Amino acid sequence: MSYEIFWRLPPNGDGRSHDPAQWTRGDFHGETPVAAFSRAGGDDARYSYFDHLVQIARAVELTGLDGLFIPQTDEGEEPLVTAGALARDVTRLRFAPELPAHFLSAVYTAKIATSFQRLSGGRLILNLATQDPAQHAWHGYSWSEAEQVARHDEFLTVVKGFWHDAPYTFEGRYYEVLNGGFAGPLKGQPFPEIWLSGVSAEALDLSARHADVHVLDASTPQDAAAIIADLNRRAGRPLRYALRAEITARHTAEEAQRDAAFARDPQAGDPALVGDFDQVAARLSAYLDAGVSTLILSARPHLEEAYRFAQHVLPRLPERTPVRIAAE
Amino acid sequence: MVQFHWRLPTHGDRADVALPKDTRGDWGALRPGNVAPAVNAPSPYHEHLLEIARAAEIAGFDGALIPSFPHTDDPWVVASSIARHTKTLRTMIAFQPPWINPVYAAKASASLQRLSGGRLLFNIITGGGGPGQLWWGDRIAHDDRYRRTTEFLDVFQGVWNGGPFSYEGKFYQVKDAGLPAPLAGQARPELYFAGSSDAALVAQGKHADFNLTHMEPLEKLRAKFDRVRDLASKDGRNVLPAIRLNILARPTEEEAWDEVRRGWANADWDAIEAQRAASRRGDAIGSPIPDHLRPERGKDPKDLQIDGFFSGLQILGAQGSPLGIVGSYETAAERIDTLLGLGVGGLILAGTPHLEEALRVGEEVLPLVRGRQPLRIAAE
Repeated sequence: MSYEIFWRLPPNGDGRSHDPAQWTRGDFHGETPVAAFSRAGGDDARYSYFDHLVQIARAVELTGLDGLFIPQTDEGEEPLVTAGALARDVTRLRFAPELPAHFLSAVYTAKIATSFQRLSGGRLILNLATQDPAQHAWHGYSWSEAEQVARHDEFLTVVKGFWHDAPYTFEGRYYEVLNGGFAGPLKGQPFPEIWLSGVSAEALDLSARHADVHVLDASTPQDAAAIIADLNRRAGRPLRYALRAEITARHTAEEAQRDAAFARDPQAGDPALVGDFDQVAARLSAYLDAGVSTLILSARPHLEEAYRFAQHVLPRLPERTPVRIAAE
Repeated sequence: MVQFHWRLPTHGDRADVALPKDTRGDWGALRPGNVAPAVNAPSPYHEHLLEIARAAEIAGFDGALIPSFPHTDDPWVVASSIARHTKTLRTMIAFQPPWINPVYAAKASASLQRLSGGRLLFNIITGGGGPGQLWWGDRIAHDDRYRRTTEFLDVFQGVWNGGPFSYEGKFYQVKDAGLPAPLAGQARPELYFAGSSDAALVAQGKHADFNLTHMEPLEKLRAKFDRVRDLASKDGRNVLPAIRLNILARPTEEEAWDEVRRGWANADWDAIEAQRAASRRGDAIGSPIPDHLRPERGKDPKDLQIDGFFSGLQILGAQGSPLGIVGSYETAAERIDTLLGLGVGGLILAGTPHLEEALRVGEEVLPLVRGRQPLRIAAE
């Protein structure tokens, strides 16, 4: 079966529990943060939370998974900078850092992306995040989903045009370019795959126009199948589909239920899959059967659980052949 | 400052302390999904060792012991790779002196000091003699072993800073030897020295920095450490005692003992008893564990404790002494403080699986050890 497995990288702390107050790896939480891997003074000043993130990235590569998904978080590290820091520490993994297009120039994003392609051998994914307008954001901005989608549409149009169609000129509502385009060694890099998400009609239409991969919000395989059918119809072409899931997989279902009894991980996607190794593998397989071809999984602590997943759940999934990455 | 080291499992690793058949590395049966072999990695188990070394380093350990057995990858090779993939972690090469000529060992060590910024340590092993020793191609009279080790270290030390150094020993003779200029003058690697016979203690008095022993009941340790100090001080040197032991710590006492009981239930007792009978036939030194505290399938493991240390860790796959630490994070830290109270200057800890437990012990237990300088500093 043709599918790929991404692991979520935690940009705002990690720990043994789902409770953010217990995420002692990293200094993001608590009134008087005591960060296990963020020490100061003497030799230890050389270690930071990034050293732990590198450890996770290497474990994900070593255990045979395919990529890293790096979410936007208010208090956490910037995903694109994080991806750049890790890209040279692994050789095979692809990177899907969530980018907030509304804060970025389309041209400058194209420039960053082409450099990332050069330094990583073409392993970047353009993964645009849509923020929930209801949330009170640290940056003080609030856009409706419709406005974000409209901006993403122009943003992707300009990035593509600038990349492929030099000299490129564009004048739109949000972006303007005159005779743009790469030259010299920056020209001709593989264009990153585009990942989009969202559940509104506007978001689905945006994916229909631009996405190589649509990241689903689907709590059951039936929901996933329905969205997939709808979006493929809107697009008039088959897209690929990703699913974010939080997993708690153990030798027995009882152990899994006990360990999942903490609060739900506030950053995980839907669904939360809890059970013994066979059960979790069966649930994931059902999503694959429904048409999902990218699994974006997470479990805390991310390093140890990547090993556990690869050791016990991975062998219970259908045999995996590489997905065909969208050319250009 | 007390040194805290972790052990790198060059001999393979269990993926689960309580499941004997869940293995990592290609020393046990390979099964789908085990870390070795992993897809697309040319040397998956070495990558895994690097991951453990980095985890130990980030979690606050000072160094890592790289053991040496007939079936393990060679510690010199592993150490040179790890040194370039870590920043501060010290690598401790377990090494039997005769395998390399001391002049050449000095040269290789000087190179390792240069490439690692002086992070090399040795665990000098003199070897047990008998058939095990002959596997390595070494037939030496039992009484000569420590003399050879002493001579080895004499020569190693003699050439280290450049010489010219000449030596007429029974085993080694050199004339006007000395490391050439760019290699000479590095910090000499600290020496952990295994062995507790009188011959061993006299030999180490001359060169060793630490006397390394496997965990034993506290009374035996106290007596041994007294002898270490007495014999070393005859040479006017200070040799610190050091202990290696296994640790299984969990958030609560009950969780820790549940883990042991799970290991008890999954153990292959027939194989364990057969192995025990076989080892009785050899000429190994007797176990430090009294018979009534040795693990048996019918016993509740929690009853098998000496001075608060658990005496059945070999049932959970532990290498080395079966006597070690089981308990909550707080209990584990208290036990470590007990050992530090004996004057211990170095600890080599090990837990299974070695990656996950390096993180756990470094994060959860070491910060609670009172006798250790705090490494965690709260953000201002």
